[in-house]
Amino acid sequence: MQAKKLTLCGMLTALAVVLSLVERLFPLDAVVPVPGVKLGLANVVTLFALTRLSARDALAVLLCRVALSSLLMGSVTAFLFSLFGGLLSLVAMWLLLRAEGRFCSLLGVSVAGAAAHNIGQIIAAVIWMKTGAVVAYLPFLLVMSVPLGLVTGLTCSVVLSHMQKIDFNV
Amino acid sequence: MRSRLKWGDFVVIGAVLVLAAALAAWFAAGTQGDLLYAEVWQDNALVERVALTDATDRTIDLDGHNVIVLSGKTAHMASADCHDQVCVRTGTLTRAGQVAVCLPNRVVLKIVGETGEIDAIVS
Repeated sequence: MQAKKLTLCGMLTALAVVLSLVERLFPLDAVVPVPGVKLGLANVVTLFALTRLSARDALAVLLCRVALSSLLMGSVTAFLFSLFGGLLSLVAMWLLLRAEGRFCSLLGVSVAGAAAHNIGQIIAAVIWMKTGAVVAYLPFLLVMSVPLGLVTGLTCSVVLSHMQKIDFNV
Repeated sequence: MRSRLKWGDFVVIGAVLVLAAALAAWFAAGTQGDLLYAEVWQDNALVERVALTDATDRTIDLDGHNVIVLSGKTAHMASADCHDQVCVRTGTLTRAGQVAVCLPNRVVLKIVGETGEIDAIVS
């Protein structure tokens, strides 16, 4: 059982790293006129880990993903931003998941996660730049986090229902 | 499927949009004025402050890392040597309160507005 879980965590980490790499190949802000906007595909992995594993496992996957993808393609700044965004997103989704089913669906959880990710990144940016000027980007990013969060939430929901079909359990 | 929308989803979406609108309004309200200035900040220190008029035509080169072009009452980041190019993609700033930020180089280009009280006294 432990080995199975460990394997799944490793696979999820690999998947998340690949998703962040793929995402970089197709910068969304070339299409949508919001600088810095990203699809947030790696968030699908975090959400999946939160629903099917535990918060601890999701955190482990997140930390490994951020460390690996920053080593592969990023810089110190990229690491700092992904870490802040990822952590805040994880906390927001973890909290809201407790009310999932009664209060909201997976889509609401995902939107909250996407918004929290942007807020976390902007907080990191404010610390890095030592100025609040970067917050000017936040309103646009927040508006975009609604459709993007819905897309990632829907993706995760589809994955989960397929997992249920093949009776997949950890 | 766990994606069937519930009322809480709309609460979450609404909260995100309200937060976005509030921040946008706050930023727009803080920088009113008919006199426009372009400010270039690096490492949170003011490097340049240029009054923007119709005749403005200047290029500011920050050691080749960032090139800022001020043209008329607009400003834009013409180039940056970082990989993400977020500041360049931000495009042309035309109104007070707009900013273009280059995170890797810690450069901020912003347009600030000031009311022309001094002009009013002179005239």
